[in-house]
Amino acid sequence: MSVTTETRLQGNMRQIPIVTAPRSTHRGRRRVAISPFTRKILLGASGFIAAALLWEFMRRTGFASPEDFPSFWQILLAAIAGLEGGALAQSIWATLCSWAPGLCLAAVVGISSGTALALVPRLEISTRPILEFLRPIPSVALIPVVLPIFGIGMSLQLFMIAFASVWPILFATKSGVEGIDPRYIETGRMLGLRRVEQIVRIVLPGALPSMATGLRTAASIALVLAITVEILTGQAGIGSFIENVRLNGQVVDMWAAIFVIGGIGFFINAFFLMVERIALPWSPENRAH
Amino acid sequence: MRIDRSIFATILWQTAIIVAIFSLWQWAATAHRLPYLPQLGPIGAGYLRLVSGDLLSEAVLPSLYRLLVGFSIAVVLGSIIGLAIGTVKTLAACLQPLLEYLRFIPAVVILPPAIFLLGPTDGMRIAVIAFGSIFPVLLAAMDGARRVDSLLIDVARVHGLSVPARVFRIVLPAALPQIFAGARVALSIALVMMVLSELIAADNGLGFYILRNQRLFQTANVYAGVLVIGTVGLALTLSLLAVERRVLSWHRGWRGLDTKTS
Repeated sequence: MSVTTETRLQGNMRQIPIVTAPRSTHRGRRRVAISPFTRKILLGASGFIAAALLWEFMRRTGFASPEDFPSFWQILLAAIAGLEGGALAQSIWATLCSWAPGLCLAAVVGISSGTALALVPRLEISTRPILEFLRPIPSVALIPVVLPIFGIGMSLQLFMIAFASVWPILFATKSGVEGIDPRYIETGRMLGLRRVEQIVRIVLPGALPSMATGLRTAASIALVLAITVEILTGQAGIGSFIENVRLNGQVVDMWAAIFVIGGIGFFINAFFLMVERIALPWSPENRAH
Repeated sequence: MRIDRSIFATILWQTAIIVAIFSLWQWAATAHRLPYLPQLGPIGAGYLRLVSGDLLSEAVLPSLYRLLVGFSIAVVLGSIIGLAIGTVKTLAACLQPLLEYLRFIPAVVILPPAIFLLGPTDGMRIAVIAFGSIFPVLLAAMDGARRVDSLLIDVARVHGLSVPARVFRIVLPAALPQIFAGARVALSIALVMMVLSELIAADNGLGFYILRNQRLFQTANVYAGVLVIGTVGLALTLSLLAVERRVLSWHRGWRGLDTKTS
């Protein structure tokens, strides 16, 4: 046992000089003290640079034709030009304009039905076969089914976004409500809270952290569905932008749009994380830090 | 006695609701005769044709083949890369921001470039399926490898295990529960990418079958195709769970000792 602890200590010792590097005590070579934060940023940047170099390498070696793989610099310029009042910015806006209402719809339906399913066991038991049957059907496969009902347009897109992103919200809400310590509810009942008050003051705050996690998952699913519907039906937005640009052979703009979408997804996720941190200080995820 | 009665009541409720939905559907279909509301009989017939009839080899099997190949590539590659990144700390620091960015690129948008880079081939569809489903596995493997109890690794080091032995005998088993959880997520993404790649560019497969029947206004066949896709997804999920139960039979979660570790 003691041997193991020693090895562990050694393992930790190796990392310590990085954190508290001595400031140029050696005469010959100066060692610059790098703070952990700068180190993190430098290493992270090196990953991106390595990816860019790999991209260039693939271009130069003829792994794919250079027309299909434009240079990184060109793509970056096209992305900036497209974002500055170009068609790219407009299509992003169009996509977000259907993404947000679709997600809101999913949130309303998912949270209310998730809470209901968790609080009324009989409802949960009797609808379980239907839910378990509907959930694994990939929502993309439903597009041909729903297309004749709604026709091509905003309502089709909203329905698909909401249908696909309702599941993570619903099941996260359900497990969040089910996971509430029954003693809290009993205490509330003992203090004379009515049923509605119990739900508003105990059940919902207790389940909010898992709802937020479900909502964050749903946000990226909703973005995927919004783009998919646009690609398939040609509805205005980033998906149809990519398809049009591809059909016109504007490869640079296509790659620019793809990389910009990654950034948007990243920022949406970061935004939800930030809101969770500010609005839900009691969430176990935030208390862990 | 009471338990028996509650189980009986449960089954009664469940069947009652399913029967109610079916009869409502059938009533609506016969009463209104809308083009997008087919009767149950043709849907069932289409389903049977897809599952056991002549369409099995034409529509279901090509889809299943591409799905399984793409998914396997994703699981194997994702586990290898994820374990490597999770084990080597510097590599993790280098690649994590890049991965955090790449995983937010929706797999859908990779389809247009894939079509003109690789052409409308089976290879393209497999590549798209693999690309879409690799990230959950990769991130899970990375996370699992990073959370390995450092005590175990130190013990292995003390006992003089080589690096490959350490990876295969300690890191991989410790990360397997996470990898399986990631694979379950990846499977549903793979299914989506399979359908999508066939909706956009294919000449066989379930997605193509659905799209063609929709264009021919054979709505019953469209519903049947969707049901078959759901069945495929369900069957694959169940078999993945069976594999997981077998491989992870030593794990606490499956032994029922601790349900929190998943």
